[in-house]
Amino acid sequence: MLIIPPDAGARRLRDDHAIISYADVPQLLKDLELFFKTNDEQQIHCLALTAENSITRVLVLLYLLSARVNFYLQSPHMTSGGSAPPFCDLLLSVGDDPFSMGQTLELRRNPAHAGKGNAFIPGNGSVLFSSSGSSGRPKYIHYRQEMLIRNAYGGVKRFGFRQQSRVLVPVPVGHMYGLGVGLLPALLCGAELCLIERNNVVKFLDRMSSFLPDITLITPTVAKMLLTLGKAIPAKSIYITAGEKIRQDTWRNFTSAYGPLINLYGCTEMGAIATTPVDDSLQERSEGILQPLDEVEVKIAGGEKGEVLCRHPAGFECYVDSKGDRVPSPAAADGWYATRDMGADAGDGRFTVMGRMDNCINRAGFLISLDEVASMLENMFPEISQAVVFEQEEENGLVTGLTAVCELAKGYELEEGLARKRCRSGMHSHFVPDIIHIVQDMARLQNGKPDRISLIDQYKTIVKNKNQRS
Amino acid sequence: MKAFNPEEVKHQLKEIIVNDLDMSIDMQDIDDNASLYDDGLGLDSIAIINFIVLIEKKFGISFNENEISARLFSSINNLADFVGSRASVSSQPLKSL
Repeated sequence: MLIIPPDAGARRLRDDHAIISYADVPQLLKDLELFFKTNDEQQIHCLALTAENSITRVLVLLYLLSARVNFYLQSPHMTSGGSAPPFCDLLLSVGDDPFSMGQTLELRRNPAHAGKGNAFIPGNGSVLFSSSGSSGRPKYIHYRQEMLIRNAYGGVKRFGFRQQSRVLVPVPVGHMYGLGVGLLPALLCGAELCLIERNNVVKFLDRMSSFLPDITLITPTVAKMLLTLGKAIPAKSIYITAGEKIRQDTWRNFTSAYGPLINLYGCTEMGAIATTPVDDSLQERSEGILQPLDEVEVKIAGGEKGEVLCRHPAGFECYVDSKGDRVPSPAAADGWYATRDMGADAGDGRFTVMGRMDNCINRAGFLISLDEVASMLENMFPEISQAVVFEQEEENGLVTGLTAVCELAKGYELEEGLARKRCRSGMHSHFVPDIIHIVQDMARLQNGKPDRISLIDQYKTIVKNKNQRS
Repeated sequence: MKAFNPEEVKHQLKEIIVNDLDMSIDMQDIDDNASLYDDGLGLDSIAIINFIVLIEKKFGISFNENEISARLFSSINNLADFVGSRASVSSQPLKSL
């Protein structure tokens, strides 16, 4: 199953180290075939491949797909310990020069390998990803390789990838966002491709100027950084973003300065599920109204507002544990995958996502997303750069109170009483926080996200008088 | 027009890194040839943005979008050469931050 089109020829693939053309790929794959045949490919049960954004890793990936060898895509951040999950029997390392891969390829036994046992993972055609779940017990996401490819075709169609496209992938290809929406769609079309390893804003601007992409994957953080820096970009591109929510004003400013910013909604289990409009529906795009990809079904549990459920023709097959044994999944029933996200029906098959179900509370009979309240505050107040909202029990233990910690935007001031007053006039009463703390700087984790646990510890106080909420 | 001494520019750049970017490093430990990224000083994206903004303020220059390149930020030497030449042209006095 060689997935690249035969007529891609002179179109090129590049990374921080090398440039090759699609015409080079067949010979480079033959070099890999020779290596794997010499190393008794038939005996490989599951190979761990460190998924760095490099051409050599892409070539290995193409080979493994074409030969239907099972592989686990390991995040570069998780390889420092030197081992992979016990279901992997071998670890593959490779250098950065595609034309001398033979000298740098190395297969090693995984010291943690547990033997095949009763492992669910079939003899070939499997891809495994780490789960972002936080249950404490490692869980892995198992795909059939053909489903992964089919999943990527959904991105091709939605974003209009074609051979003439120039695709910039600065996000990790070891995750479904970079792989399923960037790398694989580009390869499937034979598009020009530029990978950035360990992206930073300087590298990003460098490639925007030199590579001139027309399809660019961008994290919300980099999007915000570009706005902070305020430099023009010569490329005319659409930007596909995923992950944390982007404020409406950031959305508008980015679109006006750089071009269409399309939000992708998805997860590792389902791949790409939906996007904001790719046409000129600016208002809907800034409001985060999502349109499912072709053949993907989405429904909201309970009708108007509730958990987002998804049925995908090319989703994952199942979860497996670290030994490769199948893990029952209560999340998937009747073919509908429960995303654990809370959403609302937006009509005509479209929907919006408010936040994680874990961050939802029942307040006087209304299901409220704490992320949605935070988002409302950020959109309503230019004075607030970021808000974190959490619940707290009122003294009688019956009614759930809301506390908001709001970080001031630079150059603004906001008084807490005034903020609550404006909330009362602009928000439904069920969303209005009982207590608003305005802070200059909020506690943050190393990755820059608010440190929710510290903030709760710092600001949790009992709401003594429920009449405070008017 | 004031022509900047390259050593003076390097010193100013290191001062920004140590004093304004809050890097836990002494000025004398910054190698002029070391990368500013992961494999050198380890500036992350947010630090690099702040660095660019501070350089523009302090030297009274503005980077054009196509001038912000990986090569330029690959060492203090490269950056100092560029900033020195641009600052000389703009002929603005150095500003204290």
